[in-house]
Amino acid sequence: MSVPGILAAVVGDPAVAELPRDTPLLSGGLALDSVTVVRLLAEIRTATGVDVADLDLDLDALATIGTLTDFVAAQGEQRDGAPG
Amino acid sequence: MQIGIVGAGHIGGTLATLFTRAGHQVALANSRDPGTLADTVAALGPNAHAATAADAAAFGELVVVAVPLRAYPALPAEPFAGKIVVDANNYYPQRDGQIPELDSKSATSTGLLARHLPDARVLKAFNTINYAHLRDRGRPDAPAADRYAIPVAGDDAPAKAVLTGLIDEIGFSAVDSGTLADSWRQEPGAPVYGAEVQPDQAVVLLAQARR
Repeated sequence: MSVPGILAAVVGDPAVAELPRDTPLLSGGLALDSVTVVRLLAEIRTATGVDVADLDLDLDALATIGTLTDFVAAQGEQRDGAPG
Repeated sequence: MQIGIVGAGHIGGTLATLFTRAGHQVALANSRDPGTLADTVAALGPNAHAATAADAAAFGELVVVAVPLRAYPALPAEPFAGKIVVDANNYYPQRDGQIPELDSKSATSTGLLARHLPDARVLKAFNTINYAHLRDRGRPDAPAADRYAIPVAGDDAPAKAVLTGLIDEIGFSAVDSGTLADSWRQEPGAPVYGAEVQPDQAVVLLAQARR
């Protein structure tokens, strides 16, 4: 499942999957609380194998729907392309 | 609001100052005779009075517990029944002695207090902030997103809402960190512990915590 799809499932609102990529995940946007972010990152890890919190110390990835989608995609490619 | 503060050290004393200044009535207690707090409450002005721990708990609609963790078993449970209790505690083994349940991470320090006060509505807050920053860095005039964050854990949503309002009055932004079982995310050693950050960054640091 795509990151927007996972996000929509975690917040329980299918319309969230169709929001613009530049929608902020925190203040000024979806205003996710830490509990929801924890669940979101856990679902992303389960679905894609990418552990965002572990890989991104600043978590700039959590700025918007688009930055998170791109971060997960980039990490997934890096891992899939890595030898061994 | 009537507020009890049990523990007149750095955090307890600072909160007494901030809450009385915001117009609340504060009963302040330490582990000794209330007479030992005469100078302290005189400096706080007419909104404050000294009390025993039991009387401070009985007085407050909301009661802050800011005593060392090792001292909580001496608190009488009965006057805390039904009260919103804000635990500012941290487990420091060098000070408190080893507590196996906390060393094994099978409990949280605030969970232990909640077990000791079974009828209280226990929250955890004010444990991550340096008292001097709490004293000096509240910005009641600033937008919530620009203020420093104070994580709040707990299972009782209406109690959290009351504390969130108080935190707002003293110029900080409360950030919901989850349930009491999740409160390890703001314990010593966690990324948000001691971090002076705005609410968004606090959410990120809380999400980043590993046990």
